[in-house]
Amino acid sequence: MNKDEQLHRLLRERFGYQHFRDGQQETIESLLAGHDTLTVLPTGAGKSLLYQLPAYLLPHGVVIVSPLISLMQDQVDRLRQRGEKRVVMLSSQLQGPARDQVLNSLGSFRFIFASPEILATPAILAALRRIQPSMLVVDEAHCVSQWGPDFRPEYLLLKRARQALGSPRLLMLTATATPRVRRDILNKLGLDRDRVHQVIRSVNRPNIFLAVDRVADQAAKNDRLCQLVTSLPAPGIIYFASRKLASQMADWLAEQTGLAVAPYHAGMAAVDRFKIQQQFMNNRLQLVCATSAFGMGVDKNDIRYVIHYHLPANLESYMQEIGRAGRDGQQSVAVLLYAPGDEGLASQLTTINLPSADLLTQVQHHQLRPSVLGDDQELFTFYLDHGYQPAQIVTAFRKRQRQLAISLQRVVDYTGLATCRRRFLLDYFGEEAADFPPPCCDVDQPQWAGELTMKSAPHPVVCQQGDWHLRLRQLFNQGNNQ
Amino acid sequence: MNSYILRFFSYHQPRRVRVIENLLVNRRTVANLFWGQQYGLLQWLGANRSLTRREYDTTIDELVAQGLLVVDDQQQARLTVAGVQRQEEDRDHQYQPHFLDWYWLANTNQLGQRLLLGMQVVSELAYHNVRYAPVTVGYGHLLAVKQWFARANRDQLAATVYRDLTQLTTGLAGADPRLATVLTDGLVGHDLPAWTNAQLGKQLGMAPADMLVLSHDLLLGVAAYCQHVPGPLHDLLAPLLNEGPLSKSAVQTLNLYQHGHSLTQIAAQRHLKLSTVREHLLEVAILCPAQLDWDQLLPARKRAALVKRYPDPDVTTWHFQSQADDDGAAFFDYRLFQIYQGREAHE
Repeated sequence: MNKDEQLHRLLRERFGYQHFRDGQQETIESLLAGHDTLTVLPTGAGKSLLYQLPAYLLPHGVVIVSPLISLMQDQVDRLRQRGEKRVVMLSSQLQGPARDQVLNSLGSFRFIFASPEILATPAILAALRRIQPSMLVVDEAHCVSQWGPDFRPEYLLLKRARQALGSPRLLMLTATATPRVRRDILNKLGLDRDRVHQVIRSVNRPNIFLAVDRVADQAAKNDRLCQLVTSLPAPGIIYFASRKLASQMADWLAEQTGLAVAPYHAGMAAVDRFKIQQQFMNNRLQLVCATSAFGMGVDKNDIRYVIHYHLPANLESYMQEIGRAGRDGQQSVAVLLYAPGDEGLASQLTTINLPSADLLTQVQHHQLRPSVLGDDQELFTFYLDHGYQPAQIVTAFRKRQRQLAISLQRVVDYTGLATCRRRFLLDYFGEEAADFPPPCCDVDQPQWAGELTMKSAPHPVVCQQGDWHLRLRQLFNQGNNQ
Repeated sequence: MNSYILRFFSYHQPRRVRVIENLLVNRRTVANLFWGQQYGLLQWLGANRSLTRREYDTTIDELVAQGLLVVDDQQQARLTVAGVQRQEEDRDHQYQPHFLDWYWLANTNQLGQRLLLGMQVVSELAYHNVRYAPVTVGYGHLLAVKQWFARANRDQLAATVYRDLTQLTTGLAGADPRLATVLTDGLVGHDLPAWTNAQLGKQLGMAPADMLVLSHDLLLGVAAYCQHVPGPLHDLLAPLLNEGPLSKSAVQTLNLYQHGHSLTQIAAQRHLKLSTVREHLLEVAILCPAQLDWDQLLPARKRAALVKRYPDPDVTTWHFQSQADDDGAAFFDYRLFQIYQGREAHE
């Protein structure tokens, strides 16, 4: 059997797909040939497969670094759902005897998920080195770039961590990266651009119609929201910038529209989030009012619309979040609601309260406790712990603040366009934009609401509640007579 | 959250704001246990382990701003007249817990997670499905459930768990039908999504504050059932059940003490500070007073001396009068006596 046949067979038998999607086979072959690879594929293009499939062909375990625990948890859940038991997650949540047990049996896992900061822990790094991982995967690789809006300082540790692991082959994955960010990723990870294979595909999602609704004020925004969720076919997601508002609006919308709505945000308990996600996947919910914590791993392919109630912090996040719609390729809609002054809130949320160099120095010398540094204390102590000087930190953060303001301005620009929104987005991501056939965006098609042909919503599944005898019989598959 | 916190305060008795918080999140210092007992709130120990400092402080601030609570400069709070009225109004429709006497039996957060995963695993087994995402719980629970599952008789497991759970739920429904609904509708099953407490609260017309109480109470009920009834639920959850209200370390100290060792000997033998050993005995004095020989620990002549020094029958008003060259023994005797007299007063 030649290599191509082997890959397709694995794809069919283990993953249940007949064909590779664009960019997948090229990435996998590059990795199996031992090349470091940077892959940029749009949201929903099947990035997880890029490391999951080679993991079954490589001799040792694969280490996957992810910026958020919820993101890792989603990946772990999905692998387990596929019947894969050799999965483990290393994060600060894993402690005590459970942690020792995992570290002692690390060699038995095929997929080892790790947060970047945990890779800086000597005991963990030593345990990982012993198993000689076959591949290191940097998920959301744009987090390594200071030019990107999602920069995570912990990602700067990855260069050293990779060396400590014996420099296994590297897969860098992202859905959104401008050319500048791509260069910076390679640079920060200490890679030679000429020796890295790059697989870049367009971030464009032609089946997602792009629209912006500019409204006069909050009340008009709520009216419009109600109108949208009652006219667009479910299921849908509405993103909010605050947890509190996500919860309040979920209640309000349920009351106003009679739809099955639930909130989802990182302030909820992990089991509650699991339950909401499961309800959404099973069409028990028609609508989720979420913060950006929702959806990173939501593998629901029939989401028909994504509405943003607040401005996203940048166009990268926006692309990621709207990319959760229409993974089945069917017509879907992304609507951004904007009321004058919204940028004020967005800018407030992205503002980092920068302490003075003096204060940082006192914390550095343990004269003051890190808590004086405010909400972002962990961020600052990270830099101090890694040898950055207070003046350097202040300069870097000022610069960063300016970048965040520029990123937000591009979102505001997007809301006010008189020209094609898709072209604007693709231009931002450094893609040559051609003409797009309709349906494309509300600039060309302002009356879109009545004109788009959309698949009708699946019937919401209603389940009988309150009869505990019946519920127990259903849970454990027991007949009536038992 | 406001009506939840409001129920722990009183009009007549000023109560330390931090003690109430510490009780709810299960910070078991002797001072917290002592004051918890004086306030009659010991049963609420560990009733809300997820409560954050910010959430609690915000609630206190709101209650003060609404004129329901006043906090003095000693950080002691008491209800205002409006606060009493609100508390009474709330009480009429508030959920009344049934199983709080078992407060010491288990950490309900942990118990809930293990139960949820265990029942999901059995539900998937009942439908012969091995490909599913386990509910998000700590890794320790994953391992424990895996071991429980490996030891179980799989051919019978779904049927025996069903019978066990039916018996448990029948009992719970007898106490309050809502307990049965919340337990069973909250369990994750094969192709059978579960409801969150917030959703169930809405369906049952219960306030979020009440759902907090109900869900804790429910899990104490589950724990109590598992402690008494052998079966798969017992096997799954028994490792999370405590043997008694005392911490393990306090039990060890108590055993040595009951075998005639002096406090100094115990400290040396257990490599503990003398003050820690004293704290253990105070913990016993508060939580399991019958385990102590009070005449030996606090002989009549010592009590007679102390009553002269602290004559007020209301022990909550006492202030420790320190003595020179004290190695902590005087405070130990003082607190012990305070517990002793406080108990007499309660009884």
